[in-house]
Amino acid sequence: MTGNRRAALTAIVSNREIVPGTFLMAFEEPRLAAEVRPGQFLMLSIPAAHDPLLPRPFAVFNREGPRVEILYRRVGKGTGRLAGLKRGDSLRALGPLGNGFPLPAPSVASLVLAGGVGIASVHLLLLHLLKHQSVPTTLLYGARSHQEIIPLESLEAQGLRIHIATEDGLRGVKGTVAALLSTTPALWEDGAAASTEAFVCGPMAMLRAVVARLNRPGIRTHVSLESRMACGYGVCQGCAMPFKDKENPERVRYRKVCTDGPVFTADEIPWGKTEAS
Amino acid sequence: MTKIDMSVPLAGLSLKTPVMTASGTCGYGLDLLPYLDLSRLGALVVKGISVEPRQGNPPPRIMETCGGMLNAIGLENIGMEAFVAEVLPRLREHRTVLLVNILGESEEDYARLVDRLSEQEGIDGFEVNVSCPNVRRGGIAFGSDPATLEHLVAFLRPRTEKPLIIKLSPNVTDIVDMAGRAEAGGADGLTLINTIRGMSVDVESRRPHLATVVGGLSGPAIKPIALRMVWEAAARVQIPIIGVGGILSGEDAVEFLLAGASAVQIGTAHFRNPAACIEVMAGIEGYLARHGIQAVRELIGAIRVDPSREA
Ligand SMILES: Cc1cc2nc3c(=O)[nH]c(=O)nc-3n(C[C@H](O)[C@H](O)[C@H](O)COP(=O)(O)OP(=O)(O)OC[C@H]3O[C@@H](n4cnc5c(N)ncnc54)[C@H](O)[C@@H]3O)c2cc1C
Ligand SMILES: Cc1cc2nc3c(=O)[nH]c(=O)nc-3n(C[C@H](O)[C@H](O)[C@H](O)COP(=O)(O)O)c2cc1C
Ligand code: FES
Repeated sequence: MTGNRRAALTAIVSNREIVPGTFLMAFEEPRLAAEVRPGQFLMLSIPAAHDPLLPRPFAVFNREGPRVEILYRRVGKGTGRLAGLKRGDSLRALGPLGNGFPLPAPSVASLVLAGGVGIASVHLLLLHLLKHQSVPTTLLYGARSHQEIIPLESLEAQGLRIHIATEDGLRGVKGTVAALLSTTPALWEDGAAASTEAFVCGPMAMLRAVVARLNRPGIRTHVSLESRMACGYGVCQGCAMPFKDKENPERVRYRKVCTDGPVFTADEIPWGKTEAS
Repeated sequence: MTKIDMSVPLAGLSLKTPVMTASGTCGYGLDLLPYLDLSRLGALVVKGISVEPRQGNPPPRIMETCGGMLNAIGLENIGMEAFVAEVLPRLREHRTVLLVNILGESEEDYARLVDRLSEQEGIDGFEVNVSCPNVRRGGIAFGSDPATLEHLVAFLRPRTEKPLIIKLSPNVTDIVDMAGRAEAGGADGLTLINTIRGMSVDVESRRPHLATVVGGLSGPAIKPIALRMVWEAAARVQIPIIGVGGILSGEDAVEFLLAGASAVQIGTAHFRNPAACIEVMAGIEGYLARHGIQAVRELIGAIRVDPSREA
């Protein structure tokens, strides 16, 4: 089939600051809501505005019926514009894009690690795991300050084991997600005996630290990466990052984060060589 | 009302509409397929192909700037043989006018590309990217030295029957001279303009935003420059001109046609909307309908300039 897919033109249903600097936006788009898989993303832009010119990539945080929810942090011009949108304002959404997380078999233990707004990229995955896994799922969730932590009571009520770390120490353990992983190995080692699938999203420094600690037998780690994107659907090559060449692991090869990713296995990434973005 | 005629003749080809894709902004066209029926395009211009595959530049490769973006993709591509074996058979199924953008580091590179690709079914013409450094001539771009440019075009001309369209670089002192030289070398048409060299700095880290420091600026920020260059070149040459630079809407495209372009290309706008070409076509048709004009051809060069007012 060619030619019949469109960037969806939709209208904001709600858009509010749920914790300081972080917003939850909702719009209705039945096709996107039905099609999106955990770890996929959308390119969002404001149709009438040309500044910023380029759309911005965002994970789908949640879906409910025809409704799509985006959780985003205000960091610059694009997210600043999004934060100013009101109910009824129009929005352009292209997607769902990217490969998404590979979903583990129901009997496999899962460990999910999120740093900051990285929680947005793993939230749909958590919902999926809570519904389908026969073994408990654990979330290690870190943020700079206790104020940035998104309330996740409904996931807890569904059986999610949540461990929180904040750098200000005012919520959970004081420190980072990586520190949480080191200081409390029992959190995940019980499940890791046979095999564990780990899913990680967060800032580059966090990914680096966490992946190093997860590098042990029995754990397969999937990382959702970020890169500056212009198109999000594979045409500009702007998002390329170096990955290990399958034929020659000593060499790197550029691959597109948008269409080859954004989810990669940790062993595909040349950690020493990757520039933090 | 009679149906609006959007067709335009160009360098021996007859195009359904004057709207084409710009090289490097729609890959090999295949990623557009979910959004767009390629046969609706005036032409598909694929990303630049070189003899050997190219890795491209390290990241970061792009940065948004006011009204535009900088890119330093580094002409990453799969190379001529992979293009012929893997991409071309798939593009043939879509019955679109296909222009292959080619790039080389020597005249021999360009010749090998033209020789190999001319034998292939399904390629309707070439767009020659002359913004690359000429390794034989100390790395000066083919498109920035008039004599080098004319020599390259004249060297390629006898090697193919297919249209040779030269895509000029705006990073020159005298674009009109370059246009004249390409025509003198035997070009069938010109594309104006490629990206304008630019840079941007992160003041917090004091580092350039692009790994290569300098990149190419595209988008609405360059439209007035592109338009001026098209207008000046059109006054000089007889061969048709394809206008490109910052087109987002039908009105933007109409500006280029009025300034003397026979067709237009859509680049950066694809990153906002994969069906940008269709949006621009609809915009042109709307303009024609509004003004009671039956054929888009009537717009070409129809700018009204009082000769005594020209700057
Ligand atoms: C696949 C993917 C999914 C994403 N999902 C989400 C999400 O669900 N929620 C969310 O809040 N954000 C998400 N992001 C990040 C989001 O796209 C950026 O924060 C946004 O593009 C910033 O735009 P801006 O115009 O506000 O900032 P800009 O003005 O462009 O930049 C402001 C600051 O943010 C930094 N920045 C910009 N883009 C990125 C980026 N992609 N990664 C890291 N730093 C960046 C810049 O270096 C600069 O310091 C995702 C990114 C990707 C690639
Ligand atoms: C990401 C990107 C990649 C490009 N790659 C090529 C290329 O491979 N060959 C080429 O001739 N022009 C290339 N261009 C230039 C465009 O074809 C076009 O000339 C330029 O972007 C101006 O048009 P626009 O403002 O509509 O984008 C590229 C532009 C962009 C933004
Ligand atoms: S963002 Fe354009 S190719 Fe990935």
